[in-house]
Amino acid sequence: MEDFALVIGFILGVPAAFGMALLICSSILNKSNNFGDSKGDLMAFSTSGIQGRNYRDRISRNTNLDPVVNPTMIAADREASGYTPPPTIEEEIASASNINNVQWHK
Amino acid sequence: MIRTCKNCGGRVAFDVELKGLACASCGTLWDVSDFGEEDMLYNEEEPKKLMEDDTFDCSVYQCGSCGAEISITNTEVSTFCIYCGNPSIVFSRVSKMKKPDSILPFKITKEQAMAAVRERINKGFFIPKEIKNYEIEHMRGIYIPYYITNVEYDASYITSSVHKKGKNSVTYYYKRSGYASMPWVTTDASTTLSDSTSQRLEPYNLKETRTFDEDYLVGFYADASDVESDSAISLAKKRASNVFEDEIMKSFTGTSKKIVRKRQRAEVYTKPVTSMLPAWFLTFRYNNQPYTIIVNGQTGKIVGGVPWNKSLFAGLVAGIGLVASIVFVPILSIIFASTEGDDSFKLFLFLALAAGSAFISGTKHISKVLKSIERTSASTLTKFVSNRQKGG
Repeated sequence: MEDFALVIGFILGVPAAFGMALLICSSILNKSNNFGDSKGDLMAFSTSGIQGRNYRDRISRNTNLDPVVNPTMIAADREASGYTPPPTIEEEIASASNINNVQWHK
Repeated sequence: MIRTCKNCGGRVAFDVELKGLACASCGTLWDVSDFGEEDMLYNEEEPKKLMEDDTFDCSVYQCGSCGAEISITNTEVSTFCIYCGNPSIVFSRVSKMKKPDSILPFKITKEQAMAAVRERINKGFFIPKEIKNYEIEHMRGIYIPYYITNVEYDASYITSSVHKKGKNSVTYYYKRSGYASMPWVTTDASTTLSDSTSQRLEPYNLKETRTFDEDYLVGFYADASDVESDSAISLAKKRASNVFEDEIMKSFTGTSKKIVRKRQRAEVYTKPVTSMLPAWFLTFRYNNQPYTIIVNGQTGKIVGGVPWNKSLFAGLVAGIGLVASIVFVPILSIIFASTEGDDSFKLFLFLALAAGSAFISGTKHISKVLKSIERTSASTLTKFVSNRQKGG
C-alpha cells in the first residue's frame, strides 16, 4: 500500500512540480526578454474617462441592457448644463504651435 | 534637398536635445520657423522649383532583403535597413510624400535611447551574454505615420464574475452603462509595422504635437502612410471599444470575468488627423536572425522581443521542477496513504485534476510568453513587409 501511495505521489507530484516550475520560469522570461508588453489604455485616449450612467452590482442575469444614447444628444444636454468640453486635438496643436488659422482637411 | 546654415552654409539637422536645427559646422542653433521655402537648396541636377502645398520631396530607399521602404528628406545615404538590419538597401526613387497634419518631435536623444536599451538588456536574466556585450551601432530615428481619431463611444453591458463563498462558487451579474469621449485614439497608418507593435509603443502624450513642418524630419527617416482614412476609422472604433471594455472590466471584482451581453455605439464626426510620431529603431542579428528593439521617441518606453538563453531556461526549469518534486511527492504519498476506499479514489481524481491543471497552466503560459516575444522580433516585422509586397 505504501509503495502504491508512493507511485501515486510520483505520478501526481512530478507534473505538478514541473508545471509550477514552467509557470515560475516563464514569468521570469517574460520580465527578462519581453520589453514593453502593455498598450495604451482609456486615459491615453480620453481626458475625461468614462462617464458612468448606470452602475449596478449583483443584478439578475436577465436584466435588460440600457439603450445606447446618441452622442450628439449628450452634447446637447451638456451644452444646456453649461459644460465646457475639453479642447479638440486641432485646438491643442494650434495653441501649442501659436498659429491662429490652421487649415484642416474636413 | 538640403537645409544649410545661414551663417556658414554647413548642413543643419534637427537636434533632439536642443529642440532646434543645429549646424554641424559652426554650432549655431536655429528654430524650425527660421527656415522657409526660399531657404531650400536643391542638388545642382534638380531644377529649383516651388513645392506643392500638401506634399514634400523625399528619397525612397528599398531593402533588397525584406522589401521595406524608408523615406529620407535630406541627402544622408541610408546604409542598412532599419527593419531587418540587412545592409543591401538601395536608392529606389525620389517621391512626393503627403504632408501629415501634425508631428510629434523627438524628445529622447539617440544617446539616451541607446543607454536605456543597454540598461534594460543588462537586466535581462535570460538574455544571452553575446547580446549583453553587443555594441549598439545601428540605431535610427524614424517617424511613424499615425491617424488620430476622435471617437464618441456609448455602451451598455451586462457582465459576470465568479466569487468564492466558503466551499462554493457564486456567479454575480453587473450592469455597466456609460459614455466616453475619446479625441486621441491612435492607429498606425503604415502596414510595415504590425498593429500590436505600434500599440505597445503607446502611450504618446499627443498634447505635445506640433503643426507639421518638414524641418523636424531632417536627420531622421520617415515611413510612408499606406492606410486609407476609412480603414483608420473602423480600426479606431474597434480600439475605442477594446479600451472601454477593459476599463469596464476593472470596475468589479471576482474571477472568470466576462461580458454576457452588450450594446454599443461608436461615432466619428470629423476626419482623422494624420500625424507622425517618433521612435528609435535598433536592429541587430543573432544566430543569423534579425531582431528589432523600438524605443518611443517621446517617453523612452522600450518595446521588443529579444532572444533567450534556452539552455539556461531548461536548466532552471529542471532545477526548480526537481526541488519541487522532492517536496510534492512525499506529501502527496502521505496524504494518499492516509485515505481508503472511495475517499482514496475521490482524492486521486481531485489531485490528478490539480496536477494536470498546474502542468497545463505552465505550458500555456510559456507558449503565451514566447508568442509575445515573437510578435516584436524583426522576423515578424519583415513578414508584414513581405505580405504587403505580395498585396496581402
